[in-house]
Amino acid sequence: MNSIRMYHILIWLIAGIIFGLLAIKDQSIHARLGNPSELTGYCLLVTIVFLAFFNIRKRLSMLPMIGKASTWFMLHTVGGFFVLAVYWLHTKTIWPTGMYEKSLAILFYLTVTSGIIGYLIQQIYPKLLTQTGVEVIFERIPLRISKLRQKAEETMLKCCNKSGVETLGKHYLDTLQWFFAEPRFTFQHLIGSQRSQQWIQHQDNAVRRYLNIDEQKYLNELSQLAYQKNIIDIHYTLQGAMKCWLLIHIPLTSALMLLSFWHFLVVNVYAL
Amino acid sequence: MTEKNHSDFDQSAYERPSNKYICGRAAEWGVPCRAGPNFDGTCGCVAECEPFFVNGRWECRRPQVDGGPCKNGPSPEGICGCTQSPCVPRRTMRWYRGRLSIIAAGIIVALLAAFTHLSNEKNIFSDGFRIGALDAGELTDGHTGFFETLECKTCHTAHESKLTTWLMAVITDSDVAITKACVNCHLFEGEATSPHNAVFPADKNIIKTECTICHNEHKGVSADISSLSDEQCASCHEKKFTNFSTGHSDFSEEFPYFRRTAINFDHTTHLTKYFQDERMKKDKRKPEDAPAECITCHQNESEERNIKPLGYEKICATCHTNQILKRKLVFLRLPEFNEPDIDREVAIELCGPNEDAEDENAEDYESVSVDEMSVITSYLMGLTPDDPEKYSKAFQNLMLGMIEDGISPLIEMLEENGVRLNANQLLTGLNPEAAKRMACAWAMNLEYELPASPAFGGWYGDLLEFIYQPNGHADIVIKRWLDFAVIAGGDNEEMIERAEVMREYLLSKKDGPGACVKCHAITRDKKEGKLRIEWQYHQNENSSYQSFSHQRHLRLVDPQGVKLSDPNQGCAKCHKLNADAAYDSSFEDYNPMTYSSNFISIEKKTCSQCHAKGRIREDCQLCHNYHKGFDFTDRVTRNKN
Repeated sequence: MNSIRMYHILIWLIAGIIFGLLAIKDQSIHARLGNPSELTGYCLLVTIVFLAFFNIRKRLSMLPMIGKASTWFMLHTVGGFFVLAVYWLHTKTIWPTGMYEKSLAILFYLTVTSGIIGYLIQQIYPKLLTQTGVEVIFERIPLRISKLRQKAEETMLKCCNKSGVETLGKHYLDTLQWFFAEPRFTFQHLIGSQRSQQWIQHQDNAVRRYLNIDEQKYLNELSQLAYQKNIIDIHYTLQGAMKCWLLIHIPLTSALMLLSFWHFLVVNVYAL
Repeated sequence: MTEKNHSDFDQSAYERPSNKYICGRAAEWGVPCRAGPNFDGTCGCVAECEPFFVNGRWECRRPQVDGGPCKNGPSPEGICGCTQSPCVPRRTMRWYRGRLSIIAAGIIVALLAAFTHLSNEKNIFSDGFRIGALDAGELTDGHTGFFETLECKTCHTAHESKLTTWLMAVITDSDVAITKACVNCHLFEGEATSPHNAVFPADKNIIKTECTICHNEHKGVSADISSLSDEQCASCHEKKFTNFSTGHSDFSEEFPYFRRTAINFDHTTHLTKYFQDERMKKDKRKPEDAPAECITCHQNESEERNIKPLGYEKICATCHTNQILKRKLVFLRLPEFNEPDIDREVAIELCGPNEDAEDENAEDYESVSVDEMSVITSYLMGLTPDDPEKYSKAFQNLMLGMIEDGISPLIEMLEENGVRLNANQLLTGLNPEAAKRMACAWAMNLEYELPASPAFGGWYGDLLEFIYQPNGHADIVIKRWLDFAVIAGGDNEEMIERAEVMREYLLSKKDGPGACVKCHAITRDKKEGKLRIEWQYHQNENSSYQSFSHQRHLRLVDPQGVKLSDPNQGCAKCHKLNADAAYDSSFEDYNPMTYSSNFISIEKKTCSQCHAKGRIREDCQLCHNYHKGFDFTDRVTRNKN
């Protein structure tokens, strides 16, 4: 067992112990006719604020002594599950009553759900990306696609010029031009499907029988470029998904933070 | 395929994912501009480089990654010679994320403001700051009706107050304010914020208990907001235990018969003697027959701790009504006179001639009565009942007054002697004409002959006595006379002694009128020290913290085919007769707490046979109530919102 894994287990263990102590304290306050919601509520608020700081930390990467992003991500993940447990301890119910509290619950659950989905994405997709065997910077994908398209067109033109036959050229215009234009098979890549590779193979097979040996060399080059493009597409889709889920998670978090503050204010005015 | 040198400054472009814009060409999957868009969203790559002026000439600064310095070079004015048409940069995903966050926060603020505004006629910045976006959940069914008029302000005083006051409520204790609102409707026998509404010794460190400690609203219409766990009970109580069957202390020796009942009913005598009489066993269908089981006399329809008797008419009347009718109240008795003080001519003038009257000129006066005054008259007139010298004139004046004014002198006599009750009530139904005729006969030194038999009771004169005969149970005249008897007193020893004699007569179980106190207990008030007759059945007041449902227990017995009269499995399983108890003597000292019940006290093991771990509930609230004397204020009972 490596040290990172030990480190992760330790953090989960600490979170579990803190929650256990909190649950015991909650029960103890309840048994003494106190109001445990006050303790769990403040604990919940502090944890949510701490989780929200993860987004700020990413903007403050220039600051020293702020910790690694991976550590923050780990704490964010553990804290996310911790906050869900504390929420149930706080409300003593899965679904509260009252429109206002239901709204707060909906926002909380949506934020947590989007977080869990994001966590799963962060756990699964990097492995799929590693399986492709290449590293691509997300922002450079348009350039990479552009270059591959350029190479494919050059290959196709070279073939036409040398062979004097337009078979491969027509084939390119009918099929591969669409493929090289922009990232394709997005949904299939999201779900880990091999449909794009089958499509490329199919296009290769469909035209190969009509080509002579020289043209087939160019077709081989073209197919090779298509496979490279397919890998870029996988990177675009999966890296895109790893960024896109934040489009939901972060706005929900901001709404939740605001409503939580309102809840804090109202509870202090009306009930504490 | 992986870019090995993807971060080298001269081999690759510098990516700025945090910028608000991306190159328009890249967005359309073309070759992106090298420098990317400007911060203002315009294309930053119309020129391929920014020429640099050095040594008096402009030099091309196109980076190596784009092919190095161009052949044409910059113009003499320092303008790049390789220009291209500008692209239209697009917003980045980060920009959209930021905007969505702002929009989401804005929606929340807008919704809060909208709901706040919609719930109030006024603007949120006006004096009445009411928050509509506060629906914290439905109230329980019992509280919903009191919410409609004042709404949240019913309980939350900060609601709808000025904004500054509303915000100041953050630092004030809301629990205290809510408790004040609770006691607007809820009433307790003791202090609302004292534990169990009880009074504790001053040296005890008792913490105030606000209502919200146990009762929390907004959990739905059918929410249980009054239940407490055993742990919560144990948090205050010195003796802590986890369950009834093993931890609860044994019941006291008196349990549950701490206070005697309002009715003196000797179960032992009735069950073992009277109900065993052969005359009561002939036919079980007749009302005069002995009751078959406990619930023949006790109603068990309501789920109460006290299992109320069915009432006199249903369970006592058959045997006891005749006893009541026989007990008469002698109000006036013609006493012996040494000589007549009433002028015979005046009497004849007022009453008319009477053939039976003695001759006025007779030499020896012989009084028709040789009796004493009645003890009631003796007390009321303040006279010695056996001394004709002292009472003769006063009593004959009374008779003369009755001849002239009917019952008015009697009422005056009652009022003059400090009868605090309404004197008219004591003489309810008394016919002034009947009183006059009787006084006339007595004035003529004659016995009064009753014209007809008093079949239905009431006031009547008979020979030498003026009598009231009760017409049945709960006779109002008899009840008033007995109430009068228990409070009668005097200013001197003589009067006190006469009051005592009158009280003995009226309250005598053996001979007293109505025989009421044979069954109705007389109790000395704990606060004022005065006696009162317990006319009504009442529940046991001293055990308000305890609850018990007879009906639930009987429901368990009935379906099993067990007769309630069964000595082992019926009512007697818990209520065992104590034949040795001095039950009747419990009523003699007027103290309801010195009580010897007809039944042996119930022991804890009787309950713990069933109420034990793994069997039936045994939590504290099953048998104990938290509050004492729970009731509602006028605001609730008269619907004063």
